[in-house]
Amino acid sequence: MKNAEELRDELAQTFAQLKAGEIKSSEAAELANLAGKMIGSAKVQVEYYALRKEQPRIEWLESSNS
Amino acid sequence: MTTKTCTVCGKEKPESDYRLHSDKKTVMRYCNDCHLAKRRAQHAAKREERNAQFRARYAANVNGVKDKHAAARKAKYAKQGRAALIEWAAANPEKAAEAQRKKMKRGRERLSDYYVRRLLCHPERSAVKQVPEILIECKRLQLMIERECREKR
Repeated sequence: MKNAEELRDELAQTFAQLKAGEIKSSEAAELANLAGKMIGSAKVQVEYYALRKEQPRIEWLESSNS
Repeated sequence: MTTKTCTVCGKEKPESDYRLHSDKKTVMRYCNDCHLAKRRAQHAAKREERNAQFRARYAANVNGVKDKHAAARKAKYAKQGRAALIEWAAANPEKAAEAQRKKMKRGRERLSDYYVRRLLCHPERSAVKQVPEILIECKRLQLMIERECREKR
């Protein structure tokens, strides 16, 4: 997962598989936990730049198409 | 003056106290008071059914009624502005807190943008004004998976 878009797609796929019963809930919970860490990390980065009143590009949040 | 005895209450009343049938010539067998009482009872008996129909029509957005209401709310807010809302909240702290609780409850149930954004960066504790949309989407999906896992356990 190189950027947030890929993470979103992965999470959407996991949710669909979980709904369909194709994966175990423990497996999905682990991925959700990992996603939480990645989101938290990105959030800290966003907050840091907001506190410094800077607006740099955060590559991880940028779309792979742009 | 001709009088007539009501078949419901049994009182003798002048014909002017009776309603006309749809042919506009003959008067009804029961007086106006009894007629109104009957209609009120019918109205009350069908209240729940009628309200359920209205709610269903509203939910289905028949004739765009839901959109019209949303547009009216938006127009009212645009006219009055946020300042009026802040003023009202300061004057009615209890009502404002209750409204906020309801809004958060709704947001929690629907995982609204507002709720997820607030979870990520609380406006009172964070300097972030604009949370990236992609981050909100990821967080929402994460919460959805966590909820689903909790339900399956």
